[in-house]
Amino acid sequence: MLLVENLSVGYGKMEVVHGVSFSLTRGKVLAVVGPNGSGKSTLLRGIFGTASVLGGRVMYDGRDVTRVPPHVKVSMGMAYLPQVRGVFEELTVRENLELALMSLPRDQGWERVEEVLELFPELKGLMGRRARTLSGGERQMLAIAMSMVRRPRLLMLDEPTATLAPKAASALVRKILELRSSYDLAVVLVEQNAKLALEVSDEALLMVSGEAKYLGSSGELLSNPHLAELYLGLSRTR
Amino acid sequence: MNLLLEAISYSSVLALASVGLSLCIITTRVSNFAHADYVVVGAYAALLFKALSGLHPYLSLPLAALAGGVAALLSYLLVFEPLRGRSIVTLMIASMALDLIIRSALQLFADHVQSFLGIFARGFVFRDITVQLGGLKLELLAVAAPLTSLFLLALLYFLLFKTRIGIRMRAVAENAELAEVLGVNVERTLSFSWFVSGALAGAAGVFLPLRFSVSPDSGSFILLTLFAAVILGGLGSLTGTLVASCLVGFTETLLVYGLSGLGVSTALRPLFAFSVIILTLLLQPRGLAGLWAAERRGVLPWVWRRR
Repeated sequence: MLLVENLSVGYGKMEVVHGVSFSLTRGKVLAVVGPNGSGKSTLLRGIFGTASVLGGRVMYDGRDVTRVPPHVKVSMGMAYLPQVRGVFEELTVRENLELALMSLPRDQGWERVEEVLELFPELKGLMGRRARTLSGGERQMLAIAMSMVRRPRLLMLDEPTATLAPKAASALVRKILELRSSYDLAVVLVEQNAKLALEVSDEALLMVSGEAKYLGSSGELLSNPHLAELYLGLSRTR
Repeated sequence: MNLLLEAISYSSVLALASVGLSLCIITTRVSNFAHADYVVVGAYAALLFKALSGLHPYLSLPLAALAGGVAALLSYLLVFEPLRGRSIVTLMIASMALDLIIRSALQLFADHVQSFLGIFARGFVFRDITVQLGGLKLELLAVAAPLTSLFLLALLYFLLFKTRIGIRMRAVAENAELAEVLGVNVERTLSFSWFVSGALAGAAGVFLPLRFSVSPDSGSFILLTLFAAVILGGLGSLTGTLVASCLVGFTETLLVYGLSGLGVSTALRPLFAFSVIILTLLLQPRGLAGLWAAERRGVLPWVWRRR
Protein backbone atom coordinates (compact mmCIF):
# COMPACT_ATOMS: atom_id res chain seq x y z
CA MET A 1 0.00 0.00 0.00
CA LEU A 2 2.76 2.49 0.94
CA LEU A 3 6.19 2.18 -0.61
CA VAL A 4 8.88 4.70 0.26
CA GLU A 5 11.98 4.43 -1.91
CA ASN A 6 15.27 6.11 -1.13
CA LEU A 7 13.48 9.21 0.14
CA SER A 8 15.46 12.33 0.99
CA VAL A 9 13.58 15.17 2.67
CA GLY A 10 14.55 18.62 3.88
CA TYR A 11 13.67 22.24 4.29
CA GLY A 12 14.81 24.46 1.43
CA LYS A 13 18.09 22.95 0.34
CA MET A 14 19.01 21.54 3.76
CA GLU A 15 18.65 17.76 3.68
CA VAL A 16 17.42 16.27 6.97
CA VAL A 17 16.38 12.75 5.94
CA HIS A 18 18.80 10.85 3.71
CA GLY A 19 17.61 8.06 1.41
CA VAL A 20 15.13 6.19 3.63
CA SER A 21 13.19 3.21 2.23
CA PHE A 22 10.41 1.05 3.68
CA SER A 23 7.07 -0.46 2.73
CA LEU A 24 3.84 -0.98 4.65
CA THR A 25 0.75 -3.08 3.99
CA ARG A 26 -2.83 -2.66 5.27
CA GLY A 27 -3.56 -3.68 8.83
CA LYS A 28 0.05 -3.20 9.93
CA VAL A 29 1.55 -0.66 12.30
CA LEU A 30 5.02 0.70 11.58
CA ALA A 31 6.70 2.49 14.49
CA VAL A 32 9.25 5.13 13.54
CA VAL A 33 11.55 5.60 16.52
CA GLY A 34 14.86 7.28 17.19
CA PRO A 35 16.56 9.99 19.22
CA ASN A 36 15.44 13.65 19.13
CA GLY A 37 16.35 15.38 15.88
CA SER A 38 16.82 12.13 13.97
CA GLY A 39 14.38 13.21 11.23
CA LYS A 40 11.31 11.13 12.19
CA SER A 41 8.81 13.98 11.85
CA THR A 42 10.53 15.30 8.72
CA LEU A 43 10.22 11.86 7.11
CA LEU A 44 6.48 11.88 7.75
CA ARG A 45 6.15 15.44 6.44
CA GLY A 46 8.07 14.45 3.32
CA ILE A 47 5.77 11.51 2.67
CA PHE A 48 2.73 13.71 3.09
CA GLY A 49 4.15 16.61 1.11
CA THR A 50 4.48 19.35 3.72
CA ALA A 51 8.31 19.27 3.56
CA SER A 52 10.45 19.33 0.40
CA VAL A 53 11.28 15.98 -1.15
CA LEU A 54 14.86 16.26 -2.39
CA GLY A 55 15.17 12.75 -3.81
CA GLY A 56 13.50 9.33 -4.07
CA ARG A 57 9.79 8.66 -4.36
CA VAL A 58 6.62 7.77 -2.49
CA MET A 59 4.23 5.20 -4.00
CA TYR A 60 0.70 4.84 -2.62
CA ASP A 61 -1.58 2.11 -3.94
CA GLY A 62 0.74 1.67 -6.92
CA ARG A 63 0.71 5.36 -7.85
CA ASP A 64 3.61 7.79 -7.58
CA VAL A 65 2.39 10.48 -5.16
CA THR A 66 5.73 12.13 -4.42
CA ARG A 67 4.72 15.50 -5.88
CA VAL A 68 0.97 15.22 -5.26
CA PRO A 69 -0.25 18.14 -3.06
CA PRO A 70 -1.37 17.24 0.49
CA HIS A 71 -5.06 18.08 -0.03
CA VAL A 72 -5.16 15.63 -2.95
CA LYS A 73 -3.40 12.95 -0.89
CA VAL A 74 -6.15 13.35 1.70
CA SER A 75 -8.78 12.64 -0.94
CA MET A 76 -6.81 9.52 -1.94
CA GLY A 77 -7.16 8.07 1.55
CA MET A 78 -4.00 9.27 3.29
CA ALA A 79 -4.31 11.01 6.65
CA TYR A 80 -1.61 12.80 8.62
CA LEU A 81 -1.77 14.08 12.16
CA PRO A 82 0.90 16.72 12.89
CA GLN A 83 2.97 16.66 16.06
CA VAL A 84 1.54 19.80 17.67
CA ARG A 85 -1.68 21.75 17.20
CA GLY A 86 -3.61 19.00 15.46
CA VAL A 87 -6.88 20.88 15.98
CA PHE A 88 -8.10 24.41 15.29
CA GLU A 89 -8.25 25.99 18.71
CA GLU A 90 -10.55 28.86 17.78
CA LEU A 91 -13.14 26.58 16.14
CA THR A 92 -15.67 24.53 18.08
CA VAL A 93 -15.42 20.73 18.19
CA ARG A 94 -18.34 20.59 15.75
CA GLU A 95 -16.65 23.03 13.36
CA ASN A 96 -13.39 21.08 13.55
CA LEU A 97 -15.23 17.90 12.55
CA GLU A 98 -17.18 19.73 9.84
CA LEU A 99 -13.92 21.04 8.42
CA ALA A 100 -12.49 17.54 8.26
CA LEU A 101 -15.32 16.30 6.07
CA MET A 102 -15.60 19.31 3.80
CA SER A 103 -14.10 17.86 0.67
CA LEU A 104 -16.59 14.97 0.80
CA PRO A 105 -19.92 15.14 -1.05
CA ARG A 106 -22.58 16.78 1.15
CA ASP A 107 -24.77 13.66 1.31
CA GLN A 108 -21.96 11.65 2.95
CA GLY A 109 -21.21 14.37 5.46
CA TRP A 110 -22.67 14.20 8.92
CA GLU A 111 -23.24 10.42 8.91
CA ARG A 112 -19.48 10.00 8.87
CA VAL A 113 -19.14 12.30 11.86
CA GLU A 114 -21.77 10.34 13.76
CA GLU A 115 -19.96 7.14 12.93
CA VAL A 116 -16.69 8.57 14.23
CA LEU A 117 -18.41 9.89 17.36
CA GLU A 118 -19.37 6.29 18.17
CA LEU A 119 -15.63 5.56 18.27
CA PHE A 120 -14.95 8.65 20.39
CA PRO A 121 -18.03 8.97 22.62
CA GLU A 122 -16.07 11.36 24.88
CA LEU A 123 -16.49 14.05 22.20
CA LYS A 124 -20.28 13.85 22.01
CA GLY A 125 -20.85 16.18 24.94
CA LEU A 126 -18.22 18.67 23.81
CA MET A 127 -19.53 19.61 20.37
CA GLY A 128 -20.22 23.29 21.13
CA ARG A 129 -16.95 23.93 22.98
CA ARG A 130 -13.98 25.68 21.42
CA ALA A 131 -11.09 23.29 20.99
CA ARG A 132 -8.78 25.49 23.04
CA THR A 133 -10.87 24.69 26.14
CA LEU A 134 -10.33 20.91 25.81
CA SER A 135 -7.79 18.86 27.77
CA GLY A 136 -4.71 17.49 25.99
CA GLY A 137 -6.24 14.01 25.71
CA GLU A 138 -9.54 15.35 24.39
CA ARG A 139 -7.70 17.43 21.78
CA GLN A 140 -5.78 14.40 20.54
CA MET A 141 -9.00 12.37 20.41
CA LEU A 142 -10.55 15.17 18.36
CA ALA A 143 -7.51 15.33 16.08
CA ILE A 144 -7.69 11.59 15.38
CA ALA A 145 -11.46 11.75 14.96
CA MET A 146 -10.92 14.50 12.36
CA SER A 147 -8.53 12.23 10.48
CA MET A 148 -10.92 9.28 10.69
CA VAL A 149 -13.95 11.17 9.34
CA ARG A 150 -12.64 10.67 5.82
CA ARG A 151 -12.20 6.90 6.37
CA PRO A 152 -8.51 6.89 5.43
CA ARG A 153 -6.64 3.73 4.56
CA LEU A 154 -3.30 5.06 5.73
CA LEU A 155 -2.98 6.97 9.01
CA MET A 156 0.29 8.74 9.80
CA LEU A 157 0.62 10.01 13.37
CA ASP A 158 3.41 12.27 14.54
CA GLU A 159 3.97 11.79 18.28
CA PRO A 160 0.27 11.70 19.22
CA THR A 161 1.06 11.02 22.88
CA ALA A 162 3.68 13.78 23.25
CA THR A 163 1.70 16.05 25.56
CA LEU A 164 -0.28 13.37 27.39
CA ALA A 165 0.02 11.84 30.85
CA PRO A 166 1.02 8.12 30.77
CA LYS A 167 -2.54 6.90 31.42
CA ALA A 168 -4.05 9.07 28.67
CA ALA A 169 -1.19 8.08 26.32
CA SER A 170 -1.92 4.36 26.81
CA ALA A 171 -5.64 4.94 26.27
CA LEU A 172 -4.92 6.82 23.04
CA VAL A 173 -2.60 4.11 21.72
CA ARG A 174 -5.26 1.47 22.55
CA LYS A 175 -7.75 3.54 20.57
CA ILE A 176 -5.38 3.71 17.59
CA LEU A 177 -4.99 -0.08 17.63
CA GLU A 178 -8.75 -0.46 17.84
CA LEU A 179 -9.12 1.77 14.76
CA ARG A 180 -6.45 -0.23 12.94
CA SER A 181 -8.38 -3.44 13.49
CA SER A 182 -11.84 -2.02 12.77
CA TYR A 183 -10.85 -0.26 9.55
CA ASP A 184 -7.95 -2.44 8.41
CA LEU A 185 -5.76 0.67 8.49
CA ALA A 186 -2.09 0.94 7.76
CA VAL A 187 -0.58 3.07 10.52
CA VAL A 188 2.75 4.90 10.61
CA LEU A 189 3.38 5.90 14.20
CA VAL A 190 6.21 8.30 15.00
CA GLU A 191 6.81 8.11 18.73
CA GLN A 192 9.26 9.51 21.26
CA ASN A 193 8.10 6.86 23.74
CA ALA A 194 9.96 4.08 21.93
CA LYS A 195 8.99 1.30 24.33
CA LEU A 196 5.27 1.99 23.98
CA ALA A 197 5.53 2.28 20.19
CA LEU A 198 7.55 -0.92 19.73
CA GLU A 199 5.23 -2.91 21.97
CA VAL A 200 2.15 -2.06 19.90
CA SER A 201 3.64 -2.07 16.39
CA ASP A 202 4.37 -4.90 13.95
CA GLU A 203 7.37 -3.33 12.27
CA ALA A 204 9.90 -0.71 13.27
CA LEU A 205 12.10 1.83 11.57
CA LEU A 206 14.96 3.19 13.68
CA MET A 207 16.14 6.60 12.49
CA VAL A 208 19.49 8.04 13.53
CA SER A 209 20.84 11.33 12.12
CA GLY A 210 18.39 11.22 9.23
CA GLU A 211 19.28 7.67 8.18
CA ALA A 212 17.53 4.34 8.68
CA LYS A 213 19.65 2.31 11.13
CA TYR A 214 17.21 -0.57 11.41
CA LEU A 215 14.14 -1.76 9.54
CA GLY A 216 12.41 -4.95 10.61
CA SER A 217 10.30 -6.55 13.28
CA SER A 218 9.51 -4.39 16.33
CA GLY A 219 10.00 -7.35 18.66
CA GLU A 220 13.50 -7.90 17.33
CA LEU A 221 14.44 -4.26 17.79
CA LEU A 222 13.13 -4.35 21.35
CA SER A 223 15.26 -7.39 22.09
CA ASN A 224 18.34 -6.05 20.32
CA PRO A 225 20.36 -4.86 23.29
CA HIS A 226 22.84 -2.86 21.25
CA LEU A 227 20.39 -0.75 19.21
CA ALA A 228 17.69 -0.46 21.88
CA GLU A 229 20.12 0.71 24.54
CA LEU A 230 22.32 2.88 22.35
CA TYR A 231 19.68 4.79 20.46
CA LEU A 232 16.45 4.41 22.35
CA GLY A 233 17.63 4.39 25.95
CA LEU A 234 15.86 1.10 26.64
CA SER A 235 17.69 -1.01 29.23
CA ARG A 236 18.22 -4.74 28.78
CA THR A 237 16.14 -5.63 31.85
CA ARG A 238 12.76 -4.53 30.59
CA MET B 1 -27.13 67.04 12.96
CA ASN B 2 -25.34 67.26 9.63
CA LEU B 3 -22.04 66.79 11.39
CA LEU B 4 -23.32 63.65 13.09
CA LEU B 5 -24.61 62.22 9.81
CA GLU B 6 -21.32 63.04 8.12
CA ALA B 7 -19.43 61.27 10.90
CA ILE B 8 -21.69 58.21 10.58
CA SER B 9 -21.30 57.97 6.81
CA TYR B 10 -17.52 58.48 6.97
CA SER B 11 -17.16 55.85 9.71
CA SER B 12 -19.24 53.40 7.67
CA VAL B 13 -17.03 53.78 4.60
CA LEU B 14 -13.96 53.47 6.78
CA ALA B 15 -15.36 50.33 8.44
CA LEU B 16 -15.94 48.58 5.10
CA ALA B 17 -12.45 49.28 3.84
CA SER B 18 -10.56 48.65 7.08
CA VAL B 19 -12.38 45.38 7.90
CA GLY B 20 -11.24 44.19 4.46
CA LEU B 21 -7.66 45.18 5.28
CA SER B 22 -7.94 43.38 8.62
CA LEU B 23 -9.18 40.24 6.86
CA CYS B 24 -6.07 40.32 4.65
CA ILE B 25 -3.81 40.62 7.68
CA ILE B 26 -5.58 37.78 9.49
CA THR B 27 -5.50 35.31 6.62
CA THR B 28 -2.12 35.98 5.03
CA ARG B 29 -0.25 38.17 7.57
CA VAL B 30 0.16 40.81 4.85
CA SER B 31 -0.08 44.44 5.97
CA ASN B 32 -1.13 45.39 2.48
CA PHE B 33 -0.14 48.94 1.57
CA ALA B 34 -2.05 48.57 -1.70
CA HIS B 35 -5.39 47.96 0.06
CA ALA B 36 -6.56 51.58 -0.22
CA ASP B 37 -6.03 51.31 -3.99
CA TYR B 38 -8.85 48.75 -4.16
CA VAL B 39 -11.12 51.46 -2.73
CA VAL B 40 -10.00 53.74 -5.56
CA VAL B 41 -10.51 50.93 -8.09
CA GLY B 42 -14.10 50.71 -6.80
CA ALA B 43 -14.51 54.47 -7.23
CA TYR B 44 -13.27 54.28 -10.83
CA ALA B 45 -15.57 51.34 -11.56
CA ALA B 46 -18.45 53.52 -10.33
CA LEU B 47 -17.25 56.40 -12.55
CA LEU B 48 -17.12 54.14 -15.59
CA PHE B 49 -20.57 52.75 -14.78
CA LYS B 50 -22.00 56.25 -14.47
CA ALA B 51 -20.37 57.38 -17.72
CA LEU B 52 -21.54 54.37 -19.71
CA SER B 53 -25.02 53.84 -18.28
CA GLY B 54 -25.96 57.34 -17.23
CA LEU B 55 -27.37 55.88 -14.01
CA HIS B 56 -26.48 57.07 -10.52
CA PRO B 57 -23.23 55.56 -9.14
CA TYR B 58 -25.12 54.11 -6.15
CA LEU B 59 -26.35 51.42 -8.55
CA SER B 60 -22.78 50.47 -9.40
CA LEU B 61 -22.18 48.95 -5.97
CA PRO B 62 -22.03 45.29 -7.18
CA LEU B 63 -19.74 46.25 -10.07
CA ALA B 64 -17.43 48.28 -7.82
CA ALA B 65 -17.28 45.41 -5.33
CA LEU B 66 -16.44 43.02 -8.16
CA ALA B 67 -13.72 45.35 -9.49
CA GLY B 68 -12.16 45.73 -6.02
CA GLY B 69 -12.40 41.98 -5.48
CA VAL B 70 -10.75 41.15 -8.79
CA ALA B 71 -7.95 43.68 -8.16
CA ALA B 72 -7.27 42.12 -4.75
CA LEU B 73 -7.47 38.58 -6.16
CA LEU B 74 -4.95 39.42 -8.88
CA SER B 75 -2.68 41.04 -6.27
CA TYR B 76 -2.74 37.82 -4.30
CA LEU B 77 -2.25 35.45 -7.22
CA LEU B 78 0.49 37.46 -8.94
CA VAL B 79 2.38 38.87 -5.96
CA PHE B 80 1.58 37.43 -2.55
CA GLU B 81 0.94 33.79 -3.39
CA PRO B 82 4.41 33.37 -4.95
CA LEU B 83 5.86 35.11 -1.87
CA ARG B 84 3.99 32.96 0.69
CA GLY B 85 6.17 32.04 3.64
CA ARG B 86 8.51 35.02 3.15
CA SER B 87 9.23 37.45 5.98
CA ILE B 88 6.77 40.18 6.96
CA VAL B 89 9.27 42.81 5.78
CA THR B 90 9.47 41.22 2.31
CA LEU B 91 5.68 41.12 2.05
CA MET B 92 5.40 44.71 3.20
CA ILE B 93 7.92 45.94 0.63
CA ALA B 94 6.16 43.91 -2.07
CA SER B 95 2.86 45.55 -1.11
CA MET B 96 4.47 49.01 -1.36
CA ALA B 97 5.66 48.16 -4.88
CA LEU B 98 2.20 46.85 -5.71
CA ASP B 99 0.70 50.13 -4.46
CA LEU B 100 2.84 52.03 -6.99
CA ILE B 101 1.92 49.61 -9.78
CA ILE B 102 -1.83 49.88 -9.14
CA ARG B 103 -1.63 53.66 -8.92
CA SER B 104 0.24 53.79 -12.25
CA ALA B 105 -2.37 51.47 -13.80
CA LEU B 106 -5.11 53.79 -12.48
CA GLN B 107 -3.29 56.79 -14.01
CA LEU B 108 -3.33 55.04 -17.41
CA PHE B 109 -6.96 54.09 -16.93
CA ALA B 110 -7.89 57.68 -16.01
CA ASP B 111 -6.09 58.94 -19.15
CA HIS B 112 -8.03 56.55 -21.36
CA VAL B 113 -11.38 57.27 -19.71
CA GLN B 114 -10.71 60.99 -20.08
CA SER B 115 -9.76 60.78 -23.76
CA PHE B 116 -12.32 58.18 -24.90
CA LEU B 117 -15.35 59.20 -22.84
CA GLY B 118 -14.57 62.88 -22.54
CA ILE B 119 -15.19 63.07 -18.78
CA PHE B 120 -13.06 64.30 -15.92
CA ALA B 121 -11.30 61.26 -14.47
CA ARG B 122 -8.96 63.10 -12.11
CA GLY B 123 -10.26 64.90 -9.06
CA PHE B 124 -13.81 63.78 -9.85
CA VAL B 125 -16.76 63.86 -7.46
CA PHE B 126 -20.29 62.44 -7.65
CA ARG B 127 -23.33 64.58 -6.98
CA ASP B 128 -25.43 63.06 -4.22
CA ILE B 129 -29.22 62.67 -4.19
CA THR B 130 -31.09 64.76 -1.64
CA VAL B 131 -33.88 62.94 0.15
CA GLN B 132 -36.64 64.11 2.45
CA LEU B 133 -37.06 62.00 5.60
CA GLY B 134 -39.99 63.34 7.61
CA GLY B 135 -39.16 66.97 8.06
CA LEU B 136 -35.48 66.33 7.53
CA LYS B 137 -33.71 67.03 4.26
CA LEU B 138 -30.52 65.05 3.88
CA GLU B 139 -28.04 63.60 1.43
CA LEU B 140 -28.65 59.95 0.55
CA LEU B 141 -25.07 59.10 1.53
CA ALA B 142 -25.96 59.58 5.19
CA VAL B 143 -28.42 56.67 4.92
CA ALA B 144 -26.93 54.58 2.13
CA ALA B 145 -23.39 54.32 3.52
CA PRO B 146 -24.31 53.03 7.01
CA LEU B 147 -27.02 50.71 5.67
CA THR B 148 -24.68 49.24 3.03
CA SER B 149 -21.93 48.83 5.61
CA LEU B 150 -24.27 47.12 8.05
CA PHE B 151 -25.59 44.82 5.35
CA LEU B 152 -22.15 43.87 3.97
CA LEU B 153 -20.58 43.40 7.40
CA ALA B 154 -23.53 41.25 8.51
CA LEU B 155 -23.03 39.26 5.31
CA LEU B 156 -19.34 38.88 6.17
CA TYR B 157 -20.27 37.65 9.66
CA PHE B 158 -22.68 35.14 8.15
CA LEU B 159 -20.04 34.04 5.65
CA LEU B 160 -17.36 33.54 8.31
CA PHE B 161 -19.44 31.85 10.99
CA LYS B 162 -22.35 30.15 9.25
CA THR B 163 -20.95 28.73 6.02
CA ARG B 164 -18.50 26.00 5.06
CA ILE B 165 -16.20 28.40 3.22
CA GLY B 166 -16.20 30.62 6.35
CA ILE B 167 -15.04 27.71 8.53
CA ARG B 168 -12.32 27.05 5.96
CA MET B 169 -11.26 30.72 5.97
CA ARG B 170 -11.02 30.78 9.78
CA ALA B 171 -9.17 27.47 9.82
CA VAL B 172 -6.63 28.59 7.20
CA ALA B 173 -6.13 31.87 9.07
CA GLU B 174 -5.36 29.96 12.27
CA ASN B 175 -3.17 27.18 10.87
CA ALA B 176 -2.80 26.86 7.10
CA GLU B 177 -0.60 23.79 7.28
CA LEU B 178 -3.07 21.84 9.39
CA ALA B 179 -5.92 22.91 7.11
CA GLU B 180 -3.94 21.59 4.15
CA VAL B 181 -3.30 18.20 5.75
CA LEU B 182 -7.03 17.91 6.39
CA GLY B 183 -7.74 18.31 2.71
CA VAL B 184 -8.55 22.02 2.55
CA ASN B 185 -7.38 23.67 -0.66
CA VAL B 186 -5.47 26.48 1.05
CA GLU B 187 -4.68 28.37 -2.17
CA ARG B 188 -8.31 28.53 -3.19
CA THR B 189 -9.41 29.56 0.31
CA LEU B 190 -6.83 32.35 0.51
CA SER B 191 -7.75 33.53 -2.99
CA PHE B 192 -11.37 33.75 -1.88
CA SER B 193 -10.41 35.65 1.31
CA TRP B 194 -8.51 38.19 -0.77
CA PHE B 195 -11.42 38.56 -3.16
CA VAL B 196 -13.77 39.24 -0.24
CA SER B 197 -11.41 41.77 1.32
CA GLY B 198 -11.01 43.60 -2.01
CA ALA B 199 -14.76 43.49 -2.66
CA LEU B 200 -15.44 45.24 0.67
CA ALA B 201 -12.91 47.93 -0.26
CA GLY B 202 -14.36 48.25 -3.78
CA ALA B 203 -17.86 48.72 -2.33
CA ALA B 204 -16.49 51.46 -0.05
CA GLY B 205 -15.08 53.11 -3.18
CA VAL B 206 -18.57 53.95 -4.49
CA PHE B 207 -19.11 56.31 -1.55
CA LEU B 208 -15.70 57.96 -1.68
CA PRO B 209 -16.39 60.46 -4.54
CA LEU B 210 -19.62 61.47 -2.81
CA ARG B 211 -17.48 62.99 -0.08
CA PHE B 212 -13.99 63.62 -1.45
CA SER B 213 -12.55 64.36 -4.86
CA VAL B 214 -10.95 61.19 -6.20
CA SER B 215 -7.77 60.78 -8.27
CA PRO B 216 -5.64 57.73 -9.08
CA ASP B 217 -3.41 58.43 -6.09
CA SER B 218 -6.24 59.02 -3.59
CA GLY B 219 -5.35 55.69 -1.99
CA SER B 220 -2.32 57.24 -0.34
CA PHE B 221 -4.59 59.68 1.56
CA ILE B 222 -6.95 57.00 2.87
CA LEU B 223 -4.32 54.39 3.64
CA LEU B 224 -3.08 56.02 6.83
CA THR B 225 -6.62 56.23 8.23
CA LEU B 226 -7.28 52.58 7.36
CA PHE B 227 -4.14 51.51 9.17
CA ALA B 228 -5.06 53.73 12.12
CA ALA B 229 -8.37 51.83 12.43
CA VAL B 230 -6.75 48.41 12.02
CA ILE B 231 -3.96 49.12 14.53
CA LEU B 232 -6.27 50.75 17.09
CA GLY B 233 -8.66 47.80 16.74
CA GLY B 234 -5.83 45.33 17.28
CA LEU B 235 -4.12 43.65 14.33
CA GLY B 236 -6.08 40.55 13.49
CA SER B 237 -9.38 41.47 15.14
CA LEU B 238 -12.35 42.16 12.87
CA THR B 239 -14.57 43.34 15.73
CA GLY B 240 -11.80 45.56 17.06
CA THR B 241 -11.29 47.06 13.61
CA LEU B 242 -15.01 47.72 13.28
CA VAL B 243 -15.22 49.57 16.61
CA ALA B 244 -11.96 51.42 15.92
CA SER B 245 -13.25 52.53 12.49
CA CYS B 246 -16.19 54.21 14.18
CA LEU B 247 -13.95 55.84 16.80
CA VAL B 248 -11.45 57.09 14.20
CA GLY B 249 -14.20 58.18 11.78
CA PHE B 250 -16.14 60.14 14.39
CA THR B 251 -13.09 61.74 16.00
CA GLU B 252 -11.53 62.70 12.68
CA THR B 253 -14.76 64.28 11.40
CA LEU B 254 -15.26 66.28 14.61
CA LEU B 255 -11.62 67.30 14.68
CA VAL B 256 -11.65 68.53 11.09
CA TYR B 257 -14.85 70.47 11.82
CA GLY B 258 -13.31 71.98 14.95
CA LEU B 259 -10.07 72.88 13.20
CA SER B 260 -11.81 74.52 10.27
CA GLY B 261 -13.96 76.46 12.76
CA LEU B 262 -10.76 77.77 14.33
CA GLY B 263 -9.41 78.69 10.93
CA VAL B 264 -6.74 75.95 11.01
CA SER B 265 -6.02 74.19 7.71
CA THR B 266 -7.72 70.81 7.27
CA ALA B 267 -4.58 69.70 5.44
CA LEU B 268 -3.48 68.61 8.91
CA ARG B 269 -6.08 65.83 8.74
CA PRO B 270 -3.56 62.95 8.17
CA LEU B 271 -1.78 64.03 11.33
CA PHE B 272 -4.69 62.65 13.33
CA ALA B 273 -4.46 59.13 11.84
CA PHE B 274 -0.69 59.21 12.28
CA SER B 275 -1.10 60.19 15.97
CA VAL B 276 -3.59 57.34 16.52
CA ILE B 277 -1.07 54.83 15.10
CA ILE B 278 1.85 56.16 17.16
CA LEU B 279 -0.12 56.44 20.41
CA THR B 280 -1.65 52.97 20.03
CA LEU B 281 1.71 51.38 19.33
CA LEU B 282 3.23 53.18 22.32
CA LEU B 283 0.45 52.70 24.88
CA GLN B 284 -1.55 49.64 23.82
CA PRO B 285 0.25 47.79 20.97
CA ARG B 286 -2.43 45.07 20.84
CA GLY B 287 -5.16 47.68 20.39
CA LEU B 288 -8.74 47.39 21.60
CA ALA B 289 -8.78 43.62 21.06
CA GLY B 290 -5.79 43.29 23.40
CA LEU B 291 -7.61 45.37 25.96
CA TRP B 292 -10.71 43.15 25.84
CA ALA B 293 -8.58 40.02 26.08
CA ALA B 294 -6.78 41.45 29.09
CA GLU B 295 -10.08 42.37 30.76
CA ARG B 296 -11.35 38.79 30.23
CA ARG B 297 -8.21 37.45 31.89
CA GLY B 298 -8.38 40.11 34.59
CA VAL B 299 -4.91 41.42 33.73
CA LEU B 300 -5.65 44.92 32.46
CA PRO B 301 -2.60 47.19 32.28
CA TRP B 302 -2.57 49.52 35.30
CA VAL B 303 -3.39 52.61 33.23
CA TRP B 304 -6.72 51.07 32.17
CA ARG B 305 -7.66 49.37 35.41
CA ARG B 306 -10.89 50.57 37.00
CA ARG B 307 -10.38 52.01 40.44
